[in-house]
Amino acid sequence: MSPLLLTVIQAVLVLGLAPLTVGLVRWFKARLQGRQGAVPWLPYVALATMLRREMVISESTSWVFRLVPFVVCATGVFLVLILPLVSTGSALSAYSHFMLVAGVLALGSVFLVLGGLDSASAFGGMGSSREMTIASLVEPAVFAVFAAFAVASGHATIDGMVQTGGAALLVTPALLFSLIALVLIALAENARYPVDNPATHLELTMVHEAMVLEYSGPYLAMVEYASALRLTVFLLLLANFTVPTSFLFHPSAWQTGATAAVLVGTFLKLLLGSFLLALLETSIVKMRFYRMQEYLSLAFVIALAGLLLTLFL
Amino acid sequence: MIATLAVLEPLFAVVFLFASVLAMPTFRVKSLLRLYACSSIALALLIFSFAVRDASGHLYPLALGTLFVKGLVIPALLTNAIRRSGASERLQSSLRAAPSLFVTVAALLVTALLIQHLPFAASAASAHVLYLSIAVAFAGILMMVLRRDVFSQMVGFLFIENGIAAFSLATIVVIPVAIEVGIFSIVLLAVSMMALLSHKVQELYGTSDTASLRELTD
Amino acid sequence: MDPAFLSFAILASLAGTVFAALVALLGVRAHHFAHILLAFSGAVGAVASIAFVVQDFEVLEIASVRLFFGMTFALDVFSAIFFAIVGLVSCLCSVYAIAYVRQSHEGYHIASLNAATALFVLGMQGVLLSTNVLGFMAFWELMSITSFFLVMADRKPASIKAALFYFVMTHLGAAAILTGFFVLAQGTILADFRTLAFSAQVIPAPALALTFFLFLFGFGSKAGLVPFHAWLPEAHPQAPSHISALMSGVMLKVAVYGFLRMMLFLIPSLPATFGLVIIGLGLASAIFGALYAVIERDIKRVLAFSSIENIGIIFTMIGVGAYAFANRLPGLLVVALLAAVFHCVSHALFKSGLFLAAGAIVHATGTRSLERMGGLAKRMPLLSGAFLVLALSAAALPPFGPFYGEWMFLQSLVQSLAAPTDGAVTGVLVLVLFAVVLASALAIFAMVKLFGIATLGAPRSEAAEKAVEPPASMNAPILLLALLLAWMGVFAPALVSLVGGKDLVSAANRLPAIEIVGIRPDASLVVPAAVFLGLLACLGLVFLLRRLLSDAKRERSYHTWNCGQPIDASMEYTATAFSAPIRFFFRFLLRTKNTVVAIPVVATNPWICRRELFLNLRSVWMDYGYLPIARTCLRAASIVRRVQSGSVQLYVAFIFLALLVTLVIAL
Repeated sequence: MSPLLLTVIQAVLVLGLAPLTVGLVRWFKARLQGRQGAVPWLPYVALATMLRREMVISESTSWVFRLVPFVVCATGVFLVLILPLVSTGSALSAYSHFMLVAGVLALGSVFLVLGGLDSASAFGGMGSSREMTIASLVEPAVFAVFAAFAVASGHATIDGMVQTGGAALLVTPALLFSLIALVLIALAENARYPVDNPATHLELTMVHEAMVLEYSGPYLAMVEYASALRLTVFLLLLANFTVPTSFLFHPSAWQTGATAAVLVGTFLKLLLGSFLLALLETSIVKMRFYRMQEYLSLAFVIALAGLLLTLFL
Repeated sequence: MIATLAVLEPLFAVVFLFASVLAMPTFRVKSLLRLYACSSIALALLIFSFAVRDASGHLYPLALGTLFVKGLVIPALLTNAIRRSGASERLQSSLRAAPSLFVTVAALLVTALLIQHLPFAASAASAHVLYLSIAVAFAGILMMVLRRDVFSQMVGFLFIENGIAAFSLATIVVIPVAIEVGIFSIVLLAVSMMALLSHKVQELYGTSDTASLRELTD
Repeated sequence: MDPAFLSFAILASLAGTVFAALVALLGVRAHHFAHILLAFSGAVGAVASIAFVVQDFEVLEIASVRLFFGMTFALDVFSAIFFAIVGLVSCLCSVYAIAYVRQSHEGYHIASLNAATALFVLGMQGVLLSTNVLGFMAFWELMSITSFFLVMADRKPASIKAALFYFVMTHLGAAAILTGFFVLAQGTILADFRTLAFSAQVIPAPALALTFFLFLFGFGSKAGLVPFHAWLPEAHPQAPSHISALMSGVMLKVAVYGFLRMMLFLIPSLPATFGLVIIGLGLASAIFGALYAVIERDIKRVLAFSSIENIGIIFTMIGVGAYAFANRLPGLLVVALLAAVFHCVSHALFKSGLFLAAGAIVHATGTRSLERMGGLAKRMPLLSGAFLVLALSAAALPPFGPFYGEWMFLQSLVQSLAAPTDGAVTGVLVLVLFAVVLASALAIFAMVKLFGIATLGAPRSEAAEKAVEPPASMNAPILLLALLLAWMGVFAPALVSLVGGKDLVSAANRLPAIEIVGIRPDASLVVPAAVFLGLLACLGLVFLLRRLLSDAKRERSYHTWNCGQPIDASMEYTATAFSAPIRFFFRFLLRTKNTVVAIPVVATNPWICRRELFLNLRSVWMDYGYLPIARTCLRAASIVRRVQSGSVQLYVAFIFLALLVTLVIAL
């Protein structure tokens, strides 16, 4: 299979499945809390409805407000194209260098923060301030995690790290710490418990939601879709670090059996990931924002432990 | 079995250390005691794997004793004491959670640097276990120094005790059973006395914060 | 191009600067011509030095002044890069100054301001071209003295105070540098750099250590290294904006150039602990600079602290290079020095752009406080667009140039972790990695706060509401700098090879080339141009899909959602509020003091009070460093003052005592 075809397949799959992930998380969470829950494909309907609605743009906003949804969505799409989510060795896999990935994630967060500030409301400013704090202070932990993987696998690209993924965990068990830290980081980056509540309607408890309060219609659809993309990307990445790479497409393998295994595997990864996330969200509470320092320090120390143990053991 | 234990040995060692590091930013009594129990169980499993690996029979009762006394009885005792005394679940410290975590990590790094200069480093049976013991004892001392309330002092003391037990594992060849029994009973007695005293403190002062114990009363 | 032609061009550039100074003295009417001349000379100098670097000459001799103790002025690859920066930034600042100086209400004496600017640029150019100590110190002093006058150009009391503080620090630094040269040259100040390079290998270790610390203090205080930095946040905001841009963008780089030049002589003989000292001071500067940039509310002070942070990162890179060489990792030395010079170039570009933009904004809104700005993106779209690009580059985010510089450095650190070395070395490298990442993360926060509060949302004051786009001659340099940074993002590898690791290091001409071991060089497969184009392509794709899937014309304008209450701009988040979480999380480092004064409105009712909040953001270095030192000095001085009691008998006794002591020493 040509690497370009792999990139296209990955893009189509992940871009298509992203809203389903969000829907699955909500459905699992509802079921775990004893509710009926909306159907898992409701986000598709919601996005389609939002795209058809009329937008209401505030008079205090400027061109930056209009640019933000495009940039946030574009960074999401860029990540989907370069990361090893459904296939490894795709055409752009050399660009999945962890510093570039961290930089692109930060770029998306920065633009979302600017969008929150441009809305000229107190809630937007509050959400932006909190989100920017979390995004800044999670950077050292991100670097610690990926430095540990880079040192253990000998590759600086995430594509290379994943290729020595499932087996490397047994060779260097210290990477378990890095994985735990990656889970904590994923929760922080995706505005999930215990960092943020994605389902709250109380503005004082919002971080991510407060920044997108002013967006409506197609812009809101783009921003929501971008956050669904981010969640899908992180879930698939975490899954790919834990399971062997036979569940990923590879340029050299092309049999119908393998293809079916990969497709079913991807769907299973999303299912399992959403279930675990819903389980986590149901069992723990959201932390006070002013305790974020403890959470982020803990993530950093665990990631640092992973790095130091990889280096010295 | 020996092979799996040999593979799992680093895991036990790391859990032993990490539970004591994670105990530093924990400010809820139940979590603290759970972490202590976790650390003690890891120590017991470590002793057990050492016993299987070296085929030294005297370590089996030590492992069993650690598992039973430190992993089960003492946490149960303390939890019971706290519940009966009605003390607040939230512990006091002179340093907030995140800085105390960083201080502990710094202490671990300092220990790593200093361990090469210790006189008995060369003769220790296992350099890793030596490092672990000193690190855990150091973490226990830090907990006793940085925290203000009575229960943290107790748990800090218990961590120091764990560290010393690991140290004996690393350096001493044979411990007679009688001495082991003596050590365990001393620890048990000390903990029950401390539980009783903390009950009295709670009764008299209404708080478990040691800042109220600084001055003499009539 | 012919070397003779290039040398003539450099001479022409110098002459142009001198001529511009003379023309400027003619008065207000010569303002335009003087600045155009200065811009032209800067451009010529920049083009000539870039041509020199591209054509890979060894050394270009510019002039030899034989009558004055035989000084030679020459350009080599290393100084050519910095000369290009000086030329480019001074050109753009001069173009900016044409409209800026005219428009501003600060009451400058235009003739002396322009003359001093030209002499300032001349001083910097002279420092870069000097190859001996005398010329170096002469032009260094010219640079310092003219910048002292430039800082107090608007003659307000705050400016004069800041300028005097700067004057004291810069002369302490100059004294240290001169002493360092003295010690290194073993007793003469007429040495040239080649002699210094040789003597650095032969002088005994204590003298080497003394030289090192003297140079660290001298060049570090000029560059703004913590703890010698306290003059920077006072002086840079008080100067006119194009001077701030020149000082922050270029003068700090000239100080880094001086330090690097001396380090290239000293590194081969320095033990590893000195590298650790540089790393320690660099990391402290980076973290404290970033933290104070986050919590400051004055737009120019934020940029001044951001300069301190970037200088800290550059010094960290230099320190890592020195430490790596002493620990037998020469590959890391090459990459670290390369990254340091690359960061110098990118910092010069984005910092001068940011200061110029800040100047335009301060002029438009009449205030330097971020809490009175806002809504400028709607009223000044071009300027705010350039400002956004500059702020994103300052935050070292892809796809702009500075990101690749930091990437180079951090990537080489991670690679060196994988190489088998001593545990302590690995520990130091891990510490450097995470401290630099933390400083960069805080810098992102500071830049987002700067851009967001200044330009977004609703205007927080009347002046901000009435702001208009600045004239084209002020906008053009800022836009050009933003474009240059985007260009750097696309052509980063070309720039890196231009800056040239091997040539830089061979300037010390003793270090062998070695490949970096450890990780497969995946980074070389990333083409920055592709990243830029990729992001643009994704942007285009999203735009296209949005057009296809929804009706772009259906939108309606309304006010911000307000829960049914009337809201105004005073309810928006201010810069103080935006940075409050960082102030809270780092309060053990920052020690900001919050005082609430509650005064009862009616004496009999203590529950209804007027409350005032005082937030003291004075830097810890001032409170615990400079002020105690100042107090001790004053106390010591007042004790010594008792000697000057006015009694003649005491003076006669002192003369007798001095005579006695001299006799004892002589005999």
